[in-house]
Amino acid sequence: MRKEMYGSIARKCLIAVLLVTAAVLLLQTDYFAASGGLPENSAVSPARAAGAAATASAEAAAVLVPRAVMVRTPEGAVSASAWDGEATEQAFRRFAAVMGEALGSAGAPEKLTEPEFRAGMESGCFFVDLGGVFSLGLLSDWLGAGGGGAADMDADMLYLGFSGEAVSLFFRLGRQGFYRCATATQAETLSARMSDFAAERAHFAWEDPRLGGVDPYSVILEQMPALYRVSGASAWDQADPAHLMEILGMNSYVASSYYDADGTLVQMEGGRTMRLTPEGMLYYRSNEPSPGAEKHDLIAAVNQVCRLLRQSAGLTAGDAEIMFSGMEQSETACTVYFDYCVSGVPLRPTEGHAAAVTISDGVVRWASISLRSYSRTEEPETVLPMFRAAAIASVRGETPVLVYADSGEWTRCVWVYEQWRQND
Amino acid sequence: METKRLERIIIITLALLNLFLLLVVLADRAQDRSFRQDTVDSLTALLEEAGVSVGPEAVLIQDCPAQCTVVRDRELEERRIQGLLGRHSSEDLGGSIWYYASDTGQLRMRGTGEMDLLLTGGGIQRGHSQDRAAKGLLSRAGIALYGPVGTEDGETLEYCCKWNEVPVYNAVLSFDFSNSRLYMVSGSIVFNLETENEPGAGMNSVSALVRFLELVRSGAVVCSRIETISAGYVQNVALSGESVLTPVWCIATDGGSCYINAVTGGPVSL
Repeated sequence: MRKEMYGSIARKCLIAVLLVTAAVLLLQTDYFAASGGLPENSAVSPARAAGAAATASAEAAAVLVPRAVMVRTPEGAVSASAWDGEATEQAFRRFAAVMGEALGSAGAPEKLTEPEFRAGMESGCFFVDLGGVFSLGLLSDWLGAGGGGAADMDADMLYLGFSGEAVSLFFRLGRQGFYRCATATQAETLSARMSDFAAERAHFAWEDPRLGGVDPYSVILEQMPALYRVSGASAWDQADPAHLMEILGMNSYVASSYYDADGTLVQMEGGRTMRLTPEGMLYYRSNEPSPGAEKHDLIAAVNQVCRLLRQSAGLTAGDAEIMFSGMEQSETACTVYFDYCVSGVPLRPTEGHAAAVTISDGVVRWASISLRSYSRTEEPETVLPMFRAAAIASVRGETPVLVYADSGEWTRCVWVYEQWRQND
Repeated sequence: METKRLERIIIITLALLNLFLLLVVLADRAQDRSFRQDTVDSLTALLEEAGVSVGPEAVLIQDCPAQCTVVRDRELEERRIQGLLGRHSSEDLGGSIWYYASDTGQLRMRGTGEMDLLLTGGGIQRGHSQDRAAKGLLSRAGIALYGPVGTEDGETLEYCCKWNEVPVYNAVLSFDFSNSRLYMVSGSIVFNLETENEPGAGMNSVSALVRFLELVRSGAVVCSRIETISAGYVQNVALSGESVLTPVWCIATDGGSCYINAVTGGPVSL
């Protein structure tokens, strides 16, 4: 009896062992072949929340599309990138961490004369034309640093220049003046990033006496990058109303909806209304009370709006990207403007901007978003060489800006001439 | 009895199944070895056609490390500095630059990944080499080193930082010695917290060698012998406090080292 019992147990154990070995051998066969590679990463901390927070600003910063960047080495070599999305972005990213450090460690701004501003470039600089007025505090946050002595100021262009063994931050805001801040960034950090940097040959407008009427700090490329035709269409058919409601904080399950006579989808939930027209225009309005008496945080508000745009218009933009175009702010609210861009060239609608969002106390109060989808063709687009466009602009006392003009029915790459003194 | 008979049938069936699977696994392994050898032979022949011989220490078939995004975690950093400097004070200098000070030394850590450490009383213990002193010091901060990759006058040693036991070729730290005393460490480190990991983002060593062959044929690289092939990373600090570790292949030749970006296949200049 006992012998039979032991026998039974032994047989069961043997069956279990054979099952396990069969399973192990099955996993070793090519049917379940592992992807191979080096051992799994063993240094990953389980607490990735800190990392996620660190990249939230980086995600918002994806809407930053500089108009032009230029590097002038201490040896005098000059190269620049403009109107070429990938090249300009790569060039900017090469220096972004250093720029962030300089902004974050900047001391109090010191007002300069224009000759002093230009003199700072002579021993080498990294220059950025932001393509519009930017809050330096916002830029500092987007570049991973935050704060700094110039955080309360705005600029439309800035550069890092050498001051002995350190780096100084220089910036301009239209005719309101030129400024300089000392920083804690070391000169060798900046010069290390300048070595091996190669881009297109270029110069500033002020270096050419024939371009006296143009914004002196326009980057004039000697050769334009390749440009291609772009076609655009309404993205209304790609829009998902439930998703749009979700990112606007509305609940699609309890909202009431109906169609207007013109085909506009109207969704209402409490004090919030979302309208989606057949032409692809999204309008949103909220009368909901603020969640609490929180102090208006400009940077958090703008970052929130940037994420909203990337999750709405950014998803249906096709070959285009969402780019930050500017903002207006008051003590309690700010309105942020966005446009689309293809390869770094802005897509400009007939009127205004592609999107405008007003946020107050952390709540989106009003939004107007044009949902458009663009595709870049392989057909080349021909425009005037930049110098000729600048020469025409100079006569008019304006500055040439390259855009894709989007009438709604056609899209064409053209030079538009802007009053560069408008940032007064 | 029925149960006993059933168990015996199951045991026999499972034993036959195991035998079958074992034969399949052995056949797969033999086939893999054969394929690998064919690949090695073909690649060696291609390289020799181009005038490049392969040294005995060069392992031609290797897998690529994963591409990672790493960020600077201040809490982790404080703990590491504690291991390095002991009890210390911390000061935010702005621009993601932090200054740490203790009786042991002073350290400045930047959001660009650069650091400067000035040590007080950094004497090397009798019997310990400079190499051991350097590695031992950084191991207290949880930083593993690869090298030395360079030396100057016997007083300066250079090492690369490692990430997951893989060297990061442009995260180089210089250890300055004077009169048997380590007094300064400066250079770039790798941030301490991984947020993304993309295995399979890069090409394996075989594809990298094919790219290398193209460079040899075009004249961009001049060499006659491959000594070793090793995987590593190149760090790109995109934003303050955040960087991407891109896998690269380091092909050491008699004409110098050539680095191939494992994601794009292009040459990398360090």
